[in-house]
Amino acid sequence: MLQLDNVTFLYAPDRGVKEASLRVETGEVIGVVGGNGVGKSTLLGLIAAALVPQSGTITLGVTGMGGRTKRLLSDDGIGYRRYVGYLTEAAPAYGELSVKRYLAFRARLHGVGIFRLRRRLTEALKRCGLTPIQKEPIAKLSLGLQRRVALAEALIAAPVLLVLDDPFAGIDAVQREAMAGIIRDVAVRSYVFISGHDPLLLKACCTRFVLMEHAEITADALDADAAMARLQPPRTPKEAEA
Amino acid sequence: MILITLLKREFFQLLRSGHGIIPVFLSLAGANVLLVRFLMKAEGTAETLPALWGLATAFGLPFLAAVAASRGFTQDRETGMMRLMFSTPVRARWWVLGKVCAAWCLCLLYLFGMGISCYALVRWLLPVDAQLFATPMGFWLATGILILQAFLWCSIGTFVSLFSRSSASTFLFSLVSCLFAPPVVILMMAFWHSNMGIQWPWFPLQSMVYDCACGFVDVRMAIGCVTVSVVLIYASGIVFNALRLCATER
Repeated sequence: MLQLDNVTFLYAPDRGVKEASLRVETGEVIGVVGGNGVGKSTLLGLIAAALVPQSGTITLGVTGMGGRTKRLLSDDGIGYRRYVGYLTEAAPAYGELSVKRYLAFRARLHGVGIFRLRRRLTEALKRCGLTPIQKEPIAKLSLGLQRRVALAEALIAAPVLLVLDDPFAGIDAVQREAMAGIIRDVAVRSYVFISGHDPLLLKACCTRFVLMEHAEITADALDADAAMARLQPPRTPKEAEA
Repeated sequence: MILITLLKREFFQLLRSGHGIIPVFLSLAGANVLLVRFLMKAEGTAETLPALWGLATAFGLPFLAAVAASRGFTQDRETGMMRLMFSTPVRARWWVLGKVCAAWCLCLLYLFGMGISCYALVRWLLPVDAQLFATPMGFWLATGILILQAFLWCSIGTFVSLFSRSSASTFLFSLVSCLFAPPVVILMMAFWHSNMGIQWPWFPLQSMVYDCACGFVDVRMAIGCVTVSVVLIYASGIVFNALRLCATER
């Protein structure tokens, strides 16, 4: 279970996230949709523990090997961050490194041991279709492939919580479908958050939509069409007639 | 293990960037020119070669450390890497230490280069009876204190890089705080207390290297270097966590 209780993080009175509450169960893929500057990236940053809430808590329940569930708070040490895979909006990477070296570096930082590293790398490369280009420097790859590298990086530590900030930005329909397939596979045993502007693009992988307006969650448990309808500006009588 | 992973990554990234090899060569060139000037000036006096070598090296070191450390967190901020770093399960102190140690390794490379150039100077340019290791203890003491100072300069640069938004401003601010802060402080003290300026050297840390090479070790200064470095690294860790609190990585 992942739970947000009155989480607030404000840059300005109406910018950021204001008293967001949400509960997510395993296997759910949450699409966070809304216009520009409504606080989607901030909400995802908070869930990924890249930001610390000014008030409220984010709790992640993780079931261990013995079946015991422990509750981790996002702002309490690095314990919570061990279970997070995060793809940021800018999807940064060290461009001069090859795909494989970069992923190995990030995996080591996530605490993947030497003995598991090779298996995890092979899995991530294969899953994201990066095996043929694993020795290419990241800077020489296209934008779509760079985002796939960032996705592979988010997946490399087998996260319990996967946070993807606008993963489909700037990539074509074929790659989008491939990425949606990967996300669906991962979602079976994880909590997944995806942000975007267009619910119809996220429809392929999201099970539930959350709408954000003016730094607040204004609607929860929407389907793609309902979210789309809420996002579109109200029609004038003339447009409705047409 | 995390520190080694970060250190390897940061050091090789530093070497490949414009903040790596080129500044090392520039510092080496500048320090060697300074050494030759000192040698010409000291001709016929009792000043030993290790002392002059130490002094010249100590003036090149803050420049290199400022360039190397200025890359630090500024680069990550520019590329948008900070947010990813915040969500990675690595403690702030390891990020800071990784960056400080990478810049420090570059400074050690410079010290090694200065050692080689000094050896070449003695071997081929100076008269046959001149010896670099005439006072080996002085040479090694100077090297030791230079290594400590390098760590201090790198800590200052890394600390500054947490606040700055461009490498150029980080470099300038680090250089000013490393090289020109002591003379300014002494000048101000001399202005307020007329007899204080005469007692203290203009460049105390550089003078300390000179004194060490001559066999006079100022233990208080050496301990001061280490203490300030540790405090700065600790403070950098706190600032890194504070950035996560206020989201100023944007």
